[in-house]
Amino acid sequence: MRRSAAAVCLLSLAFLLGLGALPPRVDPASGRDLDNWPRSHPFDHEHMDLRLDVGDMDRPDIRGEVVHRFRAIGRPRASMTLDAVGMRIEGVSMPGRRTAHRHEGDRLKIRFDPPLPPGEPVELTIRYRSPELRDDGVGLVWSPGVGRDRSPQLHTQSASDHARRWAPCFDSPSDRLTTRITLTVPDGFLGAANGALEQTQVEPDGRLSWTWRHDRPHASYLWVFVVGRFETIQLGGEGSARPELDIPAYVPVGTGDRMGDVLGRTAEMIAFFERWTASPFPWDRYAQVICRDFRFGGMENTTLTVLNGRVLDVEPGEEDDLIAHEIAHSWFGNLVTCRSWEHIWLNEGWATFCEALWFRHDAGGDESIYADMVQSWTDEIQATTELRAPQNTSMASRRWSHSDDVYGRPDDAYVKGALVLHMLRARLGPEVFREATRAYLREHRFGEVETHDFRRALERVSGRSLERFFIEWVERPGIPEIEIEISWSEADRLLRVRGAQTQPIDEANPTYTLDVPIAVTMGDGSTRQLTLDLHGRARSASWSLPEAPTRVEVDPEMTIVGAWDIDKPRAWWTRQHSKGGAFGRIRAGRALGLAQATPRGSVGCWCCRAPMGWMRAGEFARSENR
Amino acid sequence: MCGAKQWMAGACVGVVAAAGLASSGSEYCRLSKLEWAMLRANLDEHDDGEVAHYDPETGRALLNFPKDRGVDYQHMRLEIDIPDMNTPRWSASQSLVFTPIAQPLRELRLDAHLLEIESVSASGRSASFDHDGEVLTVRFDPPIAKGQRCELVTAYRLSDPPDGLFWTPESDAWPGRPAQIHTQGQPETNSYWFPCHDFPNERLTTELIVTVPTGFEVSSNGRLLSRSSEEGRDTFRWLQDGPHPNYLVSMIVGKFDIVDLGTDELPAPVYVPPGRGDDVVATYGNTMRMVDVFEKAFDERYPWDRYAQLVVWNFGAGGMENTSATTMFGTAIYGEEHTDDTDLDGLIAHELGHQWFGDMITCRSWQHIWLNEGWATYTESIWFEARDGRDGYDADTLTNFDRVTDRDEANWPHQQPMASRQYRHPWEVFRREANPYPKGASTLHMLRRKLGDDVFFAGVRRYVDEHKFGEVETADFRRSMEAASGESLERFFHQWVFRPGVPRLEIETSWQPNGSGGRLSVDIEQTQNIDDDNPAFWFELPVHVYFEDETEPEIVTIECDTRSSSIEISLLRAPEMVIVDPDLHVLAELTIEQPATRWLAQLDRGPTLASRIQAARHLVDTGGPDAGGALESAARDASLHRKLRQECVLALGARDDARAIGHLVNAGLDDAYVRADLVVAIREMGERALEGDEEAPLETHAELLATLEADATSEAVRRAALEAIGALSLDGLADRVLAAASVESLHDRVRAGAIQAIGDLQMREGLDVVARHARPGTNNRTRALAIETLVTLAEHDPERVFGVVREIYETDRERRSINAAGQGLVDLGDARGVAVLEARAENDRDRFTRERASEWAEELRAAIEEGEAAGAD
Repeated sequence: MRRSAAAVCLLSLAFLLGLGALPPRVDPASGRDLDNWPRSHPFDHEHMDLRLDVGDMDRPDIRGEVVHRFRAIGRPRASMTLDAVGMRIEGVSMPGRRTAHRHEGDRLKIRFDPPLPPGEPVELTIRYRSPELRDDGVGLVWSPGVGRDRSPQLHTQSASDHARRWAPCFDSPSDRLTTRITLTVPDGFLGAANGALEQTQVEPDGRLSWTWRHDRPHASYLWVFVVGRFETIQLGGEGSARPELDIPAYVPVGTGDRMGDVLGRTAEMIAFFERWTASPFPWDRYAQVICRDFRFGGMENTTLTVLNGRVLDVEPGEEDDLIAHEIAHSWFGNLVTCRSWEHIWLNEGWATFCEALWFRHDAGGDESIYADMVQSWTDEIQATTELRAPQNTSMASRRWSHSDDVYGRPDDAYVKGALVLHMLRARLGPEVFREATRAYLREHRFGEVETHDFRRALERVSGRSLERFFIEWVERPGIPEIEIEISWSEADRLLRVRGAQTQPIDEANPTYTLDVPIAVTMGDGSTRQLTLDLHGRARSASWSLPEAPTRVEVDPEMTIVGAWDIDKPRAWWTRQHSKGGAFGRIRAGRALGLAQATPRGSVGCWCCRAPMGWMRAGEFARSENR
Repeated sequence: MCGAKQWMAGACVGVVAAAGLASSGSEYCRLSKLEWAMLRANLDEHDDGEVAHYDPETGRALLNFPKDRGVDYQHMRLEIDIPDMNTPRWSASQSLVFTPIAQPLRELRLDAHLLEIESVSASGRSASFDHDGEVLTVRFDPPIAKGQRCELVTAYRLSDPPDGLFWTPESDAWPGRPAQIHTQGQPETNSYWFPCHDFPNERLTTELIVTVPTGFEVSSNGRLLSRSSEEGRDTFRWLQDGPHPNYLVSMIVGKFDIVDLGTDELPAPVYVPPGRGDDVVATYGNTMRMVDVFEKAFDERYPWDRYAQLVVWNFGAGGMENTSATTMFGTAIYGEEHTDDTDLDGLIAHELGHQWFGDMITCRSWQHIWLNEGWATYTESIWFEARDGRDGYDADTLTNFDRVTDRDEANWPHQQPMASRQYRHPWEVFRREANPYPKGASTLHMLRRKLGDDVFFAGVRRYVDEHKFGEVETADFRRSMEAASGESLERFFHQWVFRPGVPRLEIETSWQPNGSGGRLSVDIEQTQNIDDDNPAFWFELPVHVYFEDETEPEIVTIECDTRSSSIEISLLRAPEMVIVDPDLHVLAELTIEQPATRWLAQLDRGPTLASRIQAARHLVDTGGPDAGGALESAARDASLHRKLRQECVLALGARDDARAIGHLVNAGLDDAYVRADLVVAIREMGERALEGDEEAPLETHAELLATLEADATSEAVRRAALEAIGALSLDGLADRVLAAASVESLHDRVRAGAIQAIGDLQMREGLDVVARHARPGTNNRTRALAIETLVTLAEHDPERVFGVVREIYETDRERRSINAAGQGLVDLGDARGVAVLEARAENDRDRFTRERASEWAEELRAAIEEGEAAGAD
């Protein structure tokens, strides 16, 4: 999911509902462990065949029938528990077995007689009715029609655990299955869902049934359907960067030409990520749909990404970050899925990082755009108030009130996750990093991953031991604050370096293990690479050099993300600004007061990320009335 | 490495009086400290206290991580030439084949402690190198390209290494004993005899070509490719062609009787000291049956070319699972006459189990050592289940449970969990309070109970398939088990592996009659520490309710995840027994309150051994004379499993039932293990009496111990009795003690008991014999004990004692004795010791030896200053 607007909304929603406050790890009264542990999945779900009759779009009242095909794992099972919220269960049945069910709260408990032996495929049918139409942006969202120009729409938002609001299911990212969704809708409406269109059928009453088959397994939070009147444009096909791929977009009627431009880079982006990951686009098609009252920036439902209506208001290029982000999820999130929400950064950190990869590529491999973005992520995480354990959790923590909270943590899974990936790229080298990423995707395609799976792939390919890195940067919140003082002492021809970590340090927040690279350039152009091992609070070192260096640059590749405070002679800054690398130039520009606080990529899209902020109702209305 | 338990349950090895004796909880408490200290005596005797995980001064977390690999090692060929078995010097040539991973290789760092590097060449070209005594750094210019195969050839010399390789020359102290060499690579000490990546996250095939004087045998890993003779020298060529980690590389040179217990397909030679071949079957006879049992249980063939077991002199631990060639401690060989009170099957099964878990699948870093040691310890239970049935399995599991609950506290961060990155030296991971041997085995047992046998073993098969010849972390094992079971096991593993402590439960079961039926309530209180860092444990506790005349119980499972939990159930009639967790589902300390009648019924008819032992333990404080009678008759009952009988004896002791104990002593019980626990019971009664009244008359105790000490059929019982005589200061039996100090016995156990007693009794007349056995020529474990004892006898002849201890510290070759002597110099408090220790702290070649000596010197100096300050007052 792309949160920009989303996270803020979710957070405010959570706030209004009194959720979101970080729960304690242990309930003081009972001593109970309050961490969120993954659920068992005693059944291997293989396929869901879902039929939904939406009835009248002016006031939808959905009838549903879902057939789940699954097998028991391990031992005979006499019961199963599914998730089902805000709907009426009308019947449960299984061929050859007696079943009994009880729907209590958000759980649907079903008993089988005789029990299901492990390994034997069975089919369970559930009929249900009237899943709740919601206006808070999650689950089943109905956007009524207003006047002549605005027809009603339905869309779903399943992440993180809201598929259960429109289909009874085992709603967990730890399992994946194939799906087939049939939508019966009034004539003139498109019913779209995950996968490829298998058939459309005109019902005797003149309504239309759309059947979508998704025959590669995916997780429940990625299931989607959309009903509405749209104009369809095609971004793939002949002449595009991906001639073989169906890349439609469903956009508000009358906006086709314009949206063709705004979404115009889609095929190129797909082709680029295919090359970068050395992994062909894993799904049948890539559709994008612009939905009204969609509360988030974008949602990467497999093969059918939902985009926020704000894309209607922008110039081509301005939302390329959002578009690239959701496309990248086709691999990072959809093909390889976080196994539980604690590992959400493997989805969102990656999708965010891929935005920078795209812009870098699009600028012909220009590292400065990439550096701008990394710097702006750093600024963003740095602007967050001081992050410390145990008051704050890391982006990979099991502590939350609701699983939606993982998308909006101060130690942000998007930005911090992307920064972690950047540091790995800088430390291992771009080639090794890419090689390891490819290995990770190969090993875990159509699989569910935990953070250590990614670490292990990196370790295997790089030969490096990365446990300490992951503990410091992924399992703990915050970033370091680093002070560096460098001076040249002509008298004894010594380069003196003093470094300190100045963030609050205590038992729960020990120092980072920082090996600070220092690049020294001499008058004849020769260079020396020095390292200050700043593993504790402070460290001083000096190196003797034959003559005064002309430039001394700290961590030129930004292998360390931190709030840096570097004190060195102005002449070195000046040279760094004119001759340094991409990161060095940004840093020098700031030190010399030559640059704005927040850099912008030349694409100019990046600025829209944070300032988009609040989505007011008026903005929706404005974009809709177009 | 050898499970600590083998030390106790297995061989008694100078610590425990007899096999199995220590399985009783109270005995364990007394022995554990000594036992643990001795287990690692050759390595470290640091205080086991809290290891800091944070340095406030620097702000650093003090954690350990795996080494970077950098290159992928494929094969090592090591050629060693040993000209003279009595001169600990040799020259060697090593070829290491590797390919750089990921990046061009400019520099390779190999661990190489105190080796004299003569030359290094890379793929035929000489390479520049540095050696700082610990790390050999080889530089490549131009760098070796990623993926390019490189052969690094290093010529080096080795001179009497202080660790990793143990050289026992011929000695006047041991007339007729041939010279011998053995190696010990775990945790990170093989780099004392060959350069290597000395960490378990890398594996390679190995080949050792060793030339020795004719007459000596050489054993290494894998299979013997050839053996040739030339001019009075024999060359052995061993190949291990399944990859294994460096710490499992082994070389042993010596003279042996070799008896092969194996088949053509799988040779299983046992190497024992010359002349002891006839005893091999008595000691190691079950080896091949164990191979069968394990192959079936794991559904995986034994993974290597042979399975050798080698008994060596002066071994530091109990056993070491070097790939395909386990090393065993020096007295791990005995004849039929000792099988009544000695049983090495636990140790043998443990090291054999490691060939799958540890050797074929290796913990990736020491943090995850429980995947080696917990598994190996659990394979013992699997063996006992096959050999002795369900009771044998229960007895072993309960022993593991007790060993955990004795020491493991829910006290993070002050106590580390079983899997922790926090240690100063890797050997600390082997002896944590949350100990990877028994707690690892208990965790596996609980997992088996939780998932059921079929799913558990299906998961194990999956784990083996997925990780064969690989390096694993705990998450790998969890993921395999999750895939097979469909269960989410993160919370389970987090709680038992990554958190310290166990639940300590106070449980009350009460019955309120109501008409013909009534209500049964069970209240459970978790009484262990619960705080922000240590939440309540989460588990499902089964309670089995039995009714008279019905064999099948009603089973109620109580899910607990808070301080207090309780259930109430209606029953149609009063229960006969209410048994909490008869199948040991939950690793917990249980204190249960219920009427004595139910305990008596449970002792008599409990469905499992564990439930009956639970009853015996609870009949200490309740039940009146009926309980005494029931316990005594169970203790006599030869049809019962010995562990239950032992527990009954200990319960009688705890009841201070001297009369019943007396009956049992005089009854001459058939089972040596039970008799040895009679000693423990008497000793504990005596200790309690002395606590109440220092002058308490202990005639009865002395009389009973005298009877037991005279036990001609069990040295183990005799040793326990000698120790008890000392502990109770029974001066009247001093003559027996002195006489026993000259008795030869298996593992030297009678003498060890006597020396212990001489120290406790402060017998001046024992000084000679203790001093004699402190010197070379005695079993290495007895020597360490004798040195410690000698120090306690110092006031009788301070000059002599100081002289002996100093000489040992300065000149000895046995690590255990050197360490005992170093500690002895501190304990003696003689100011001259400071200079002795400081000399070593300054001059020894080995950093660890220097550090140790320096710590001792400081400790001694501080003690002397403190003494002077006190004297000045």
